[in-house]
Amino acid sequence: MPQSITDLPTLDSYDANTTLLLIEHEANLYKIRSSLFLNTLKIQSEYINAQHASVTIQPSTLSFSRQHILDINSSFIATFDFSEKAKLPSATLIKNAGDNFCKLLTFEGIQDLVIGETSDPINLSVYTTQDSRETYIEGSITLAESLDDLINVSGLKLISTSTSPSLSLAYCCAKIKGLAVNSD
Amino acid sequence: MQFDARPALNVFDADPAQDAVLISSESNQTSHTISETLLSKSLIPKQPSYFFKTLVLDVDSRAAKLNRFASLNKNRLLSTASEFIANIDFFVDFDKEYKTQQDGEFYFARKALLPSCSIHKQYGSNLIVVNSVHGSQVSQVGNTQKINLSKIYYNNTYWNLVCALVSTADSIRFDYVAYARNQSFKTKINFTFESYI
Repeated sequence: MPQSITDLPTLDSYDANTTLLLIEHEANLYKIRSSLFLNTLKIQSEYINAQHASVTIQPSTLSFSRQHILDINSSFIATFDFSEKAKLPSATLIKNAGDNFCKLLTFEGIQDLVIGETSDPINLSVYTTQDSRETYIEGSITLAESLDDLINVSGLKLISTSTSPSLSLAYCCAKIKGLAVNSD
Repeated sequence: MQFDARPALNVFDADPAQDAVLISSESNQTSHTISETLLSKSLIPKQPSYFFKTLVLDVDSRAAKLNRFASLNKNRLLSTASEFIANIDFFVDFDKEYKTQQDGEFYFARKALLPSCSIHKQYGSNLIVVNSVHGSQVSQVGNTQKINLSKIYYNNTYWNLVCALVSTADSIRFDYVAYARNQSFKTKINFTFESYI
């Protein structure tokens, strides 16, 4: 075993499954299997969750809450799948590491959402019939940084632009997957 | 330096931003780095990146001699050491009154979804796998290949939605997106990429 410590020349030849790490922690030197160390810390920051809501003309709410999920180095993808008898257009919300904003993709296109603000009502999905009965599913998205960061869809409801709605009830299945990295 | 002589660390007590990590490699060199530096490197699970692309087919591309395409350029997006999954959704707006009740579920809906498509490449592979209603197709990174994205049922016939998948290590491009045999349906296509570069 070598006695000297030098900078690692390259990480390409490093195998986390076969090497040990020595960690200087609180003035003591510990050993730990590399893969255990790396994977455990990764798992600590992973966040996966799901929500379900019925959507009617009465407003309902969906929300995800997790520490640091809106921090600058965090990333996530949240999908909002809508359905009734048939599948309706989905909405997808993403945040990348290094970004201080989110992007929302709906059937209408892509828009940026500012962290720390609540959006105006957004059309998240739609169902239109051949006889021009049209109903939108709308909601306002809040991205709030707090002790537990919040991704909240409020005012989730059906809005009909015709006298007779094309939908009276729909469902939303929401999923989120991300890495919540503490940037403090 | 004897590893066996060291006490084992409870991993939850580690502080990646502060703790120094010593590494013993096969070549018997012992080196050090800050834990967070190590965590960001390529041989361990990586932070995902997300990208959107949208594309609208509003006229018959081939009849109008247009190339309707979507592309994503990102350094090392399709390198062997990267992986990604792309989900593709298709929204059709039937703005013409040419449908009949024989067209099934699309008879009542003016805006409808076609079967979606997913494309992925695994870490360590140079093969792009396309899964759609047509089944599974495989393309090699660096090649150009015609692929079937989805299909629509209209006038007693299925019409395929096709494109040419063009890729390099740093880009993926969906070229000449169009319905087969010069059919035209107003279609918005949403691409969502989740990549680990």
